[in-house]
Amino acid sequence: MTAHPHQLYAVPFTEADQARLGLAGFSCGDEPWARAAAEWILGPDVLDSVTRRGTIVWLFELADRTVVGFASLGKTRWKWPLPNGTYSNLAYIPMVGLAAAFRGQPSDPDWRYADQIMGHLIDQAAQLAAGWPDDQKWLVLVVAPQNLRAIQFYQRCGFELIPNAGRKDGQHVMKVWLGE
Amino acid sequence: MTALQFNDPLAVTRFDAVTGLFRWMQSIPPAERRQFVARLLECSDEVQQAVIALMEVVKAPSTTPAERQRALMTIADALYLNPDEMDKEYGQDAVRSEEYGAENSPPLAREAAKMNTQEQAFADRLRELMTAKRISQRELAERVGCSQPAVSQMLNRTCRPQRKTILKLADALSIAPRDLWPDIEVADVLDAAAAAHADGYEMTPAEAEALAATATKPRPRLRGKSLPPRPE
Repeated sequence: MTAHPHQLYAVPFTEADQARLGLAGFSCGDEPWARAAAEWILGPDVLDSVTRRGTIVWLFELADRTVVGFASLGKTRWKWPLPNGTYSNLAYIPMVGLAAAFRGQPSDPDWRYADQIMGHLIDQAAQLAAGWPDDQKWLVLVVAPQNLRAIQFYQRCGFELIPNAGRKDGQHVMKVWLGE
Repeated sequence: MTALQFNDPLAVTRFDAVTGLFRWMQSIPPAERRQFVARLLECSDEVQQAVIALMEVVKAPSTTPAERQRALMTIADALYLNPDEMDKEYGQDAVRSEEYGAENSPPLAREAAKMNTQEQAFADRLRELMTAKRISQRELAERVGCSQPAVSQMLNRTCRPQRKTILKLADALSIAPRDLWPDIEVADVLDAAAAAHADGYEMTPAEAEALAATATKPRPRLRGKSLPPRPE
């Protein structure tokens, strides 16, 4: 049985992949957040996140090893719940990026690359949070308020924008519930 | 020596300390001894205070051998006693370190090239704006709260501006920061991602309340499904 041509494979990211991605000219697009995503995976930030925060990072490849995108999953150690909360784990997506060439691809809605990647993240986050107390079973991410395309995509995946709770740096937080 | 008069109640303690110092200096070669005393005398009061504090660390019984070693190395650094073997200089040269990184890593090379282009664009843009708005280096320096030579260095690219300086400059010139340094927004996104992941990040009360609100527990609308590993 041959795999579907749009099937993505999750490949654990290693430092050596940076050279490969760099040579292939990996780019997520020209918007500031898209450039930030590419810089994150190509630069020191991803390594910092992996070594200092224990973040897991995957590359998503087609059968011919073309890299379609990447995603990461980690845990926060936020002071929460307020006011007396201690350090709490919530599942957190530090960065996720889809190569610009694969935006909106493929046209078959059952095999959208962005959906495959988010489906992977949601399942992995659910496994990560499986043993956690109920009030911590959140998957959260931070998004630039101008990045409407991403906000709409996350909403389509079930994420909810935390309203009127903008962070000091102007970014927005989105959440989805991982519990039963 | 008035400092060592017998009616000074601290004299005995001081003698103890001085004796200890002499005894220790006996144990090091004369050339090093002379250098040590000369350097200790020529450095500022602040550095002397820091060296004294570090010496306390060195002689404290609770100090571990590793800590003692580090404290001694810091003292040597502070007194310029052990220049780097390689180039007889202190500390790390940021420019050289960047060049070295660029030679050895393609991603770093690209970063360095990009930084270089941005820096040039920044200097050109700043010069352009200052001419258009007829603002002198001195005047800009006053508005930003830095020195005129600092502005000159930024214009001549001998000094890379810090993020907060870019914000102040943009404010002083009444333009958006990204017009001076286009990638400032990229830096903002990366900073935000890292800040949210940092230990002990404190949410605003509104954020925490919204997150805790059990009324809205949005469930994923997408089926969670882990992707397979690459087939062998």
